[in-house]
Amino acid sequence: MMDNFITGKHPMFLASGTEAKPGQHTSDIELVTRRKNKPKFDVNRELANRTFIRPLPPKGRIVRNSIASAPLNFVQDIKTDINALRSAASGEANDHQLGKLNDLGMKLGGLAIASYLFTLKHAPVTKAMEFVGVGSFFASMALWPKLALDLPARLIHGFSPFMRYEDAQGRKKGFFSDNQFIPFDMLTEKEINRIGNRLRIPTNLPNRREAVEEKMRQIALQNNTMWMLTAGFATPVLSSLICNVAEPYVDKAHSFIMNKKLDNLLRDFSNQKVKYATNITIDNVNSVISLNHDLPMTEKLVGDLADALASDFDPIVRTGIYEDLKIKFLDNKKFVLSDTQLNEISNSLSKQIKDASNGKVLSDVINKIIPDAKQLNQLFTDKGYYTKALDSIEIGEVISDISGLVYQNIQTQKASGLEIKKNVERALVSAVANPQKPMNIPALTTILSERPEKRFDAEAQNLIRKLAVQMNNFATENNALHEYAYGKLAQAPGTAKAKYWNDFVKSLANILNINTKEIEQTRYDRKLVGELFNNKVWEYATADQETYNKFIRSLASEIAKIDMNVKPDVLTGKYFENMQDSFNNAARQLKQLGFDKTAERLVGNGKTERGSLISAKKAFVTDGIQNVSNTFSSILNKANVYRMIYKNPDFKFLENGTSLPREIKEELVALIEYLTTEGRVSDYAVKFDFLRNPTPDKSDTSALSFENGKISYKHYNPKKLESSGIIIHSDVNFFKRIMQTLFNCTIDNDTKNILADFSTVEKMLNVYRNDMYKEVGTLENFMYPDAVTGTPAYENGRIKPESYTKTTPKFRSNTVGAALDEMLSNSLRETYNTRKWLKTFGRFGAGLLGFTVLSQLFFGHSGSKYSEKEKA
Amino acid sequence: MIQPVKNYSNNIGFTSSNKMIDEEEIKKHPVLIKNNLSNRMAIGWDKFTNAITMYPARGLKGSKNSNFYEFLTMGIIPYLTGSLTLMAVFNTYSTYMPKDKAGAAKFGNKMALGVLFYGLAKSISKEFVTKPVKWFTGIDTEEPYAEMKYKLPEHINDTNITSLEYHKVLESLEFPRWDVKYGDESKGETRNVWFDKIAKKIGLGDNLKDSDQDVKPRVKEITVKTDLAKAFASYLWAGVGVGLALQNTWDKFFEMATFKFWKVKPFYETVVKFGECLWNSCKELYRGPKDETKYLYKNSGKLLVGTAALATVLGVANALISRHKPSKLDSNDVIEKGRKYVVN
Repeated sequence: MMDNFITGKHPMFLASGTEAKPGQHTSDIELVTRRKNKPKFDVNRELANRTFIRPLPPKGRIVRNSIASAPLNFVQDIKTDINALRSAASGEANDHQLGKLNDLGMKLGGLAIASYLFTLKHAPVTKAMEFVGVGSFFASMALWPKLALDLPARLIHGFSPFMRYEDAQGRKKGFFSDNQFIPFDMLTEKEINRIGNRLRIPTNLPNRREAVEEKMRQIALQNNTMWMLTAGFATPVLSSLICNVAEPYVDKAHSFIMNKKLDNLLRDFSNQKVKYATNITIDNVNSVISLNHDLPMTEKLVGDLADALASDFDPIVRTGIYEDLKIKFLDNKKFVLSDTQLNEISNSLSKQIKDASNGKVLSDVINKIIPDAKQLNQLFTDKGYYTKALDSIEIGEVISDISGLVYQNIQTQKASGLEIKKNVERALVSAVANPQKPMNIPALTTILSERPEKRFDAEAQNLIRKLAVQMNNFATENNALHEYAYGKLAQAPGTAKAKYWNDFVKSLANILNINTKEIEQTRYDRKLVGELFNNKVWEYATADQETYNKFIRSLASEIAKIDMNVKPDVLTGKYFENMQDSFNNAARQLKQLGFDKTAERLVGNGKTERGSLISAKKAFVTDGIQNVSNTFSSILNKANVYRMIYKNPDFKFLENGTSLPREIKEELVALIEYLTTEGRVSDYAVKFDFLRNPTPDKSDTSALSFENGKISYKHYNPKKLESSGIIIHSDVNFFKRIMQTLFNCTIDNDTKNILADFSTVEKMLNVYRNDMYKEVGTLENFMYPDAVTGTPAYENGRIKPESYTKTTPKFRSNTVGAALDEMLSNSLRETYNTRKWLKTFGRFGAGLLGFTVLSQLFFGHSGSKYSEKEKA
Repeated sequence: MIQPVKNYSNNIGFTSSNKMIDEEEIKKHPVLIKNNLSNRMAIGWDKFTNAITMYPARGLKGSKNSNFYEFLTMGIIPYLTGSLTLMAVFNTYSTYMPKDKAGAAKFGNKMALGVLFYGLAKSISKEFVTKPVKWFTGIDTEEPYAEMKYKLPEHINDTNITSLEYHKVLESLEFPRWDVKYGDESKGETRNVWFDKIAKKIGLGDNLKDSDQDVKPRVKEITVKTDLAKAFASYLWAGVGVGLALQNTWDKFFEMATFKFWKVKPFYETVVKFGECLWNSCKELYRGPKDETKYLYKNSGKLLVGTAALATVLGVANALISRHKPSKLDSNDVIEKGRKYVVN
């Protein structure tokens, strides 16, 4: 404040409230000269005369940041921000602090946006990227001037146009922020001279310091202006590029953390499972109990209890609980009557009889023949219906007695002169037992049966509570187990399987050596990608041993990564063991409480697990592994089959293969090319809609030939076949040869040798080949596909074991796996888009950076030149 | 040699005549400008045109006349270019999505709308704080004034040495421009007319001897607190703006929107649809995603709006609650009349 007071930048005010005009002097102030230090400080004297006030000795200093001081500066900046916030909240902040608050507000707003976007995203990595996005944006804002302006300026001009200073009050400010107020006095002569030398200011110039300061001012102003002009373009682009670069690392970090967490969960299951503890079942059951305390045990109540007890489970388990509860509480079908039901009975009767009269009897007459509550009460009391439990036969008797009352009332009305036809009379009486139209209110039978004798008493409640505790405990274990399997295998972003799949697919372009130009040419068309893929595999299959081995090794090493995160052995080993223990334990406890059907829903009936919850849980794991494992193995199999064909062009690996006409051999290879590139499960179901020559040239039995790293077809001509070819579904031998070649021939030695180092991959390939050959590619499948793919028969809601076949549609689909051309096509398109995006914005960013850096060369050159005289 | 000043209007951007300011008055002293929408827009336009033309030109030349005001005014350039670049970044994405151009375009459009809504919400929401403060205290923390600055001539023939700057009276809390708030006695106003009014409004009472001295600390305090509330609330409301733009309802808008205003009917329908979608997006943001079951996620929109609203209400309340109580001491008790004092 004193500095500004001295520079006269702002008006002064006098004590009387009169405002001083610029230039006005306050010369009438009495001056008191201090001659010597006073032994005692006289506060009144000091306050009465303020002229002793002098500018404070300069305490400002240049802020010199280094990497070593960065943590301290960071902490100090946070402290400054907190102080600014505190001062502003109490209304005492200064201008510098208010400026800080704007930055804080901007960061707070950025965090609010990121947090909201976080809740809209579902995948953990995209959620995290929202915060990375905000962080990178602010980082870019700070980084751009440092990188594009400050660093080149330091190198070229020898000083930082963005340096900061700390004033006497400890406020850090930009040294050159205000072009007309630059505290050059903080720079020493030595520093000024050093900068002057870099700026090539003549050393013999009079007032050299002034000239250096002027040049520095000019350069700093030009840098500040350039910053304003470029930051808007640079920040979003730089931020996007940072995000692009950061995303794989965020993905990797998430994957690492998640897998650690899951592995730890399984390793220390008994302790870790408590994290997944839930009280939903107990809470819901308690809620039902409190609402139905000692009420009749109706079917609805049993249903509500089943819902509450199965709160954490699927409808299948709920059905088991419901069945068990029905056996326990509803099997003894006895009901009680209450005088509170009389009006409801009377209303129901009225509706039933009015419907039966069909308008033939006046409503006031009907009202007279319907027994009222008093009559009904008399009947129930006389017959003792209130005092005993009634079974269904006795309920029938009650209805019969009510019919009797109706009949009696009709007779009474008839006696008083009412004419009513016999058939109408019969209809009215019989309507008591059987409503003739659908009722919109409960029928009489329903009302009489709605108060079972069995009540939801303390004993029943106790049993339900025990069951709730057991179901709750089991739910905790089940949730923990689910967490593990879901995190590993779910078809969702961020799971171990998703990461494994994405990483493998992304690596395929590199493994197959597909270059940018090829990606650009094929990315729009799946067919073109398929062709490219096929040609690439041929290239490797027909290459020398070293190249082929390298290809197989890189493919196998990527596939082998399944052991790193997904860990199929652990899933089918330790995970299955834990699950079996947990389910068996729960089933045993349920049986002890007499809930056998529920136990059966959990673990099966003792003979088979099929149709049970544990079976579904295991299938989730096996299916999840099978699908991804077979898809990747099919690529390996394709390479192996091509290699084998290349090494055995005469088809000697097939029985009588060498004597096959060359055209048939070529057709076999063409179909193999198709199936291993774009084959889908439907191709097997329709017995391959593959056009062939019905009259092949049988005279030529020569071996296949290869040219330019791919097969050279002599006879097979797909274009010609489009007009003259036919689909020969009846050629069983062709089908058998295809299956034999693809899945049952000996694995090529080159392939085998490499896979010896990758036991998991070898196992995966063998399982794939075995399943394809024995289940999908069997002769039965070819001859009678309907029988094999048909849905297994069910009995009492469960699969009949004898009708079960392993080759369910689901199994076939998982075995065949994904179509490789589609998988690769999506991957290449994504690769292209990412590269293109990075290239476009990378170029823009680089151009902007270059332009900004080069502009530095033109800074500091405008303005006065030093004359020879001045230099002299 | 400094030659006579010609005028000032040729160096305030593209504004050919300035109806806000008396041309003679501004040469003598700073002139208060009425804080209304048209004046704010005129000031904004003036500052904008200068920020993209004269100020950068002066800055790149390294002119001595380039000052801190110009540097701060140029802050609008990265704001605008940044917004446009962000829109471009999001929309360029669709070019590389051959299979789902429509989906990518929707995302790009929404993000572009988000950038627009961010700016609008941030600007408009400042009034959520400053207006209530003005209603309750009479203090307009945003009140603008114009001041003519004299520059050094750039060259010997440079007679155009004035520059018009727009500031706010309470822009600097350390150096508020109290001088422009004193009444003009030559026009029959009392000197402390504004301070008397504020003193009465904020409950310091009537007929104060030195209302300016009583009011100034309160005004400072209220302004600091208002600025705090404004800084936080405006960015949170800007977040709400982004939230609104991301709702699904805008997909319908972008399917039919046209900017061809010369085609009256489609353009009118676009405007109507915009209003409809804006309302629907408010409802969508408040209700949360339909299928969402997690409480936090379902209510994240409510939380976003609630946080912004709470920050606004708390900020305004804080601004209205004073720490400074009126002094119980009369000035006679502390000031010796025979002596002159210098105060700041």
